[in-house]
Amino acid sequence: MMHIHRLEKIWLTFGMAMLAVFLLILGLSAFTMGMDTPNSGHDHSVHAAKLSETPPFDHPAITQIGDREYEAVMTAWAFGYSPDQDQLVVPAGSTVHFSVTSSDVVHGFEIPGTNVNMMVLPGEVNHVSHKFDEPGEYLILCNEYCGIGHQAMFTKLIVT
Amino acid sequence: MAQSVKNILQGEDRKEKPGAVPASEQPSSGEPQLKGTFASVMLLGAFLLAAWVAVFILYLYRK
Repeated sequence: MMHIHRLEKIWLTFGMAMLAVFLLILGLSAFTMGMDTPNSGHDHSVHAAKLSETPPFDHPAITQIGDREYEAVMTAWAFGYSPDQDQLVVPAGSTVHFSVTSSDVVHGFEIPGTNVNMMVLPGEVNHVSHKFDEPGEYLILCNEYCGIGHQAMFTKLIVT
Repeated sequence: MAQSVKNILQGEDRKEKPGAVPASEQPSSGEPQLKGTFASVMLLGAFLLAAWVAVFILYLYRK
């Protein structure tokens, strides 16, 4: 039988336990948050080139769907987002459910200081929800290099 | 003082008992000394654990 040094056994056990704990916590929290692989019932395909005639993306808008609950249907394009910043206004304490897709290339959708951070893909509708407790201006920006105007691609959500 | 320097120059300090092997060359019953390695590995592990926990707390805090 292979001989392993006593100290080596300790650090191997420690390392493997740490890996197991990390993966278990991430796996369980992803599972309980409803995260899943793209092909397991989360099919949200759209035709990227026909967004302008595909509801609801033909009229990107933020609409109230409940008490302090909003749905933001948005499109990302080179180089901006629809609806634009002067239209994205919600009161503090609101939960906003974002549904975002791209009409051209891969874009990013990040709100710095929050956990909102996802890719926006042409042909897919990606979703993220966040509760905005603090009033202020929340920057929404593209964090996937999408072309020559990438650095100017942003919008803002105003929480009053 | 002068005597000890003389001893060193003459290699007196190295004088071993006849047949003795220097400590560094002893096989020490086949076990390598891993205390320093163990400390380094555990320090690295502690850093990884602290960094991971800190990021996870930040993630929960921003939820």
